[in-house]
Amino acid sequence: MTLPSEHSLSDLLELPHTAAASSLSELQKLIDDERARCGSVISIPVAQLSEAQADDVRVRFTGRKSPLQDWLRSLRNFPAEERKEAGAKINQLKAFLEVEVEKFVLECRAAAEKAKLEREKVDLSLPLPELAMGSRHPVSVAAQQLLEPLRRLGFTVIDGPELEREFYNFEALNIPAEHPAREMQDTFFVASQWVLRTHTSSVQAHAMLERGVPLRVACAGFTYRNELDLTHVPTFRQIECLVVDKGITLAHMRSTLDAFFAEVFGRPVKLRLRSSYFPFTEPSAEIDVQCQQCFGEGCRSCKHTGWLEMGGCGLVNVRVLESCGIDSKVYSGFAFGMGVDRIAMSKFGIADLRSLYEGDVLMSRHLALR
Amino acid sequence: MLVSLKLIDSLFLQLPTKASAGIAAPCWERWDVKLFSEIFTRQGFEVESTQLRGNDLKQVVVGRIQNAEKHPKADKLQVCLVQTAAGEVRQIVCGAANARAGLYVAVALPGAVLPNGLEIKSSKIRDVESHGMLCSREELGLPVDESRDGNGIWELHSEPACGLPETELASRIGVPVMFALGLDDVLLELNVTPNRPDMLCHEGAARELCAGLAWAGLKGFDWKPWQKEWVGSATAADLARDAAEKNHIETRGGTFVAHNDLGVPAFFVGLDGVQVSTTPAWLRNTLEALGQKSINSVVDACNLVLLCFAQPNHAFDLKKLSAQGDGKKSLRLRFAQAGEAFIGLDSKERTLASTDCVVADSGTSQALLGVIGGDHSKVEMSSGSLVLEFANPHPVLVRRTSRRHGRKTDSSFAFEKGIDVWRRFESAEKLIGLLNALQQKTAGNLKYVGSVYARGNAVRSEDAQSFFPIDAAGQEPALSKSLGEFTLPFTSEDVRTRVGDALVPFEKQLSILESLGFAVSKSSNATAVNVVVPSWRRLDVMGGADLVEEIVRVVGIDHVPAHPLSAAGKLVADDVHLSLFEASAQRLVSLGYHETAGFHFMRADDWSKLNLKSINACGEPVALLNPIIKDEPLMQSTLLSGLLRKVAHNINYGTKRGQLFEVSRTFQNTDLHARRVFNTNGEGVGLTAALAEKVPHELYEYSPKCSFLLSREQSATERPGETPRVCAVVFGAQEEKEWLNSGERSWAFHTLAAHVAELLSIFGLHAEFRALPADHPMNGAVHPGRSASVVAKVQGHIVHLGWVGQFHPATLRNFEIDSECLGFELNLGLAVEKLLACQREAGSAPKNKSSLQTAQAVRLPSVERDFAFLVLETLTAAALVNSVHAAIENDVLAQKKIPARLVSVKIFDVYRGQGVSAGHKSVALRVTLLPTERTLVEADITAVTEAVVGRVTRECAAQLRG
Repeated sequence: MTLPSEHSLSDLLELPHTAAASSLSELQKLIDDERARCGSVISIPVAQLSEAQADDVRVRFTGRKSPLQDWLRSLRNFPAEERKEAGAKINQLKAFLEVEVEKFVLECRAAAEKAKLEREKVDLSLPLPELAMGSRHPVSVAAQQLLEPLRRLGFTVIDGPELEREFYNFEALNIPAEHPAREMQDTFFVASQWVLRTHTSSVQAHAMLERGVPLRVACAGFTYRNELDLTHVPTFRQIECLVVDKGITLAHMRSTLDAFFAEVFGRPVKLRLRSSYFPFTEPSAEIDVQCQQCFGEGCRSCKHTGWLEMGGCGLVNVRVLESCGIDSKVYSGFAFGMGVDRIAMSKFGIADLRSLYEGDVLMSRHLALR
Repeated sequence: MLVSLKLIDSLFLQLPTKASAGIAAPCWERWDVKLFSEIFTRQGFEVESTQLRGNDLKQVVVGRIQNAEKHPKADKLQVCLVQTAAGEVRQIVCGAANARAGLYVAVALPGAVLPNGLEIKSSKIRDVESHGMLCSREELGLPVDESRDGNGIWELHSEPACGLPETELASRIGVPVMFALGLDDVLLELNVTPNRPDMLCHEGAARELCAGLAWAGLKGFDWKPWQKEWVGSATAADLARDAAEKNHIETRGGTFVAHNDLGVPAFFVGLDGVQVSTTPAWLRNTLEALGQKSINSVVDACNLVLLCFAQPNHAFDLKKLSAQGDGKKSLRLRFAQAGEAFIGLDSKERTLASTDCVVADSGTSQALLGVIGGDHSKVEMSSGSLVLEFANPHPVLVRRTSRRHGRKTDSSFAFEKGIDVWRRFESAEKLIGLLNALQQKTAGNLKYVGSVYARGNAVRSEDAQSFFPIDAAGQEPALSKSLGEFTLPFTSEDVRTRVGDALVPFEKQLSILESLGFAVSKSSNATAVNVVVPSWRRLDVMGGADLVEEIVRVVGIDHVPAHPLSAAGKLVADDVHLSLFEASAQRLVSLGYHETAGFHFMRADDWSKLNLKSINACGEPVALLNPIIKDEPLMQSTLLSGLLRKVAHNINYGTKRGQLFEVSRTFQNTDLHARRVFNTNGEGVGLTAALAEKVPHELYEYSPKCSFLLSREQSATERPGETPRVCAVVFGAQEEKEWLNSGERSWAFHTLAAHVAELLSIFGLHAEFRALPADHPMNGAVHPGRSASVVAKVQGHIVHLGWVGQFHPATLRNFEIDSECLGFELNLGLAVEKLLACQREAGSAPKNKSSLQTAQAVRLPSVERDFAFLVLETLTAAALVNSVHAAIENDVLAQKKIPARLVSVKIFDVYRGQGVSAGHKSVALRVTLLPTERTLVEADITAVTEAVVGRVTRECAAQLRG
């Protein structure tokens, strides 16, 4: 037989075939024809065939359109001694066809798939779809990042009221009426004897009075002061920590601060304490952390001082312990606290304090804090 | 507090010098300014800025005009040849009339930049070369007083203009003028904490520096006694005695008497033969370096005593005081009459209030007590008699007067913070001595003629009595409380007990205390002493910890060692709601929301913008007495208005879509028992009446009984309510048109409801959505058809937790939002309480909604079947789904016909339009079954199908669609 052109695939497949043979030689002829026909088909380059055509080939040679079953049935007409040989010949052909056709079909599929995938090339430069991702507020993130090390250091995180009796906000913290320290903070007054808490230190008083000693607590929350300008907002967040136990000293405070800031920055950092004054602690100090941009060399983010102001600390004033019902002869304590807004600003590179309170979606997306 | 190191060096503490420096060297090269700053900062007085006076004028040098000729082309200009260094003569064109040969002048060399920004360059002026500029004091940024300084260029030999004799100038040609004339200085701005009023003067600063230098082990510094030559004819003891004994002062200008309606402690000193003159250069320079204006010898001396000792005082010119009826001159301490006019030294006219304290002659007020003197009786260049006033007004009254009149002076600041009342007579003695020293030789000595207490009147107003109570013992206002020694015990263990370490040996601790002015009475006992607190620390040092603090300050609190804290005494769980709120925020973030923060205030008209029924719709808001944002006088009672403003902000700035949320508290003027807390709520912001109006009876989740307990104090129920809430708002499209999708997608009510359900699942609550009741607080704010109450069944009761919905177009208009907007607000405090209640009841976590995983070890493939029913428009989804549920659960599974469980019945399509007749809709739903024993066969599915179709057709008047 001559090689058919690709156009004649259907002819090849549709070509009538004999359903039965009556002699071995006749069968041999049929087998040779079938083998040649299959050879012609599978020699067609696979790239020229579709998957459907490949399927037709499979059905014709190994499926229901194959004449081989008919031939096997026609063996009945064969002389008994020839039947075995004839059957073997048919089965041999069947095995041959199955291997060849399966190989051909797989090649066809691979070729068709390859061509399809090559057509399906994406434009890598098209914009990516926007995902609906939300974000946390920078100050919330900073607060959590500060609270986490405190929890590891054994502090219990507690909460307290924002509308506060003057007693908890002032008197209990050794800030009597008309004390000059009340000028340090301009207070929002609600009614006589009630204020919006000016610091989370008020929670110290609650903790001492209501939870009792020993104490190791931290409180993060909103505080209020009556000022609004480029560098102050009336509502901001603080974190306050308090330890009260027997025999607590400044040295314990130092160790706790060292451990806390090492955890916050993920490595040991240099701290500097400077004497200062807060009515509720004595002695009191300001906490500076060596600038983590320049390591003390002086740069823009530390205003060329080499240090960043983090907050205040000190031994709890004996008068505070006494007004909160704790025997200062037996117990002593230390406290430290910091403003979270400023820490968040330096951490996330936010220039304008007020932008923290605008709820700007673009800024939130840009910061993408999760 | 601005501190001049030169003033400290000249009057109090000879500062250690680094190296011998020539006359050309400025003082900061002689001193270790960095060390001094470190000492101040370490000891608690942060150096906020350091200013080197004259450092920016180094290129303005002393020169001598050798020759001055008229400019060939200009009448008013002169061409000068000026020697500016040995062997260097330069030609400079000058326009000043007083430029003349032989004059020593300030020459700005080319390259100099003057304080007004002018850069000096060599140039040609009308064809004549000029290599520099001859300067006036004004051009160098120095204060100018024409009577002393003239109006031309600065004549450096002129004494009143702070000059030097020509003989000395001759050797300083070429030296920077500021250095040559001794105008260089180092000015430190110290941050003084409120507990240290003694640091508001140079003596205090010098004392701290001295203690620091001693601790640093430096040599070559020395505490100076007060100038020996500055003595007058009266000692502090004389003054105190006279004041107590006399009741008038006889002066050459007449008899002087004092009255005291206030009861404020005060005394007056009379001086005769005072010749007021031009201030000497050293004093003028000192004041000008500190930014003060120099006036005349008397006024400047009074100021110097204030700067040196924080002892405010005031001098009145006796002859300007009006005489009372008997011809005596008098001064009276009294409250001002309301509306009384007063002109101060700053020439400003003020209207006084009845709580301002004044010093008045028999007619008008001559000084605002403790704040500022009066213009009329001020001391001017003349000679005669003076009255010096030393009063101790009440800090609070001074502060109020100072604020009321917007005038903060060094004097008022000192009084507000607290002066050393025990040294008033001593400071008067020093002032008299200084005034005497400043007298011109020719004028002779000034004469002290007596002092007198301003004795209290028998009749005093209630105000006066409340601020200046007279103790039973003394009729007279005591100038200082009985002096008696104030002594504290101090032992060698005190530092160790508080610090954890002795830091330095006891002996050294004691010497630190002594260096700060504490007197240590050493006894035979080497480990316990008594420490006498100096008068200037009486307001601050009151107990043992205070002495420890002094040691720690000087040694440096940074040198305290670190001792690890032992393990926590007891481990206590965090307040449980905190982690739940944190989880809520985190969940909303994963749902696409951005967290925001606000100021927690609310406007007085927000309720009407939200279309609520009244200002009290969400409970009575708490009003501030002193709001900072004038139109936001209320604490928020809902977070919604704040968030809607943020939406408007975003839209205004071009962000057309987004999701925002806030977790914070709302506040109510009602306690947990729904009782009003502040009866005067709204006072001061004009809302008293509005806020006192009736609060709606039913507030649902805004009820004060749903507020959250944040403290454990006994009287917690008398607190105004604080309720943690979450509010979320979405605006614009949920998805915008992208090349990947088929188009923009709007937000749907049900998406928000799904968010609510997801959020409440954190609290173990199963959210249900019911029609918003007509009397719900938020009813007016939302779309009537697209809103719902969020409720949950807790222990058999329905609990209102919040609302969800699309906002009413009117609400959005009021907030200037021009896009669709939906949102929800939930009472998180209530959610926490319900969770805790369930936990208490169950003794464990609430039952999880899903028992799917636990029920089945081996999982068989689930089976899905879809149905589409044609139903009436009015049929609710719930009715249809319930019917399907019943069909499968009751008609099939309950009868054990099929071994399977119903997983879900889910509506996936609601269709109206072509093919569906009007008034009807087609609802498609998918049933998911999970086989429990074996794979389901066709017969099982058929049974389910028949049961569903049968029951739904019957119950819902539905028709199965092909």
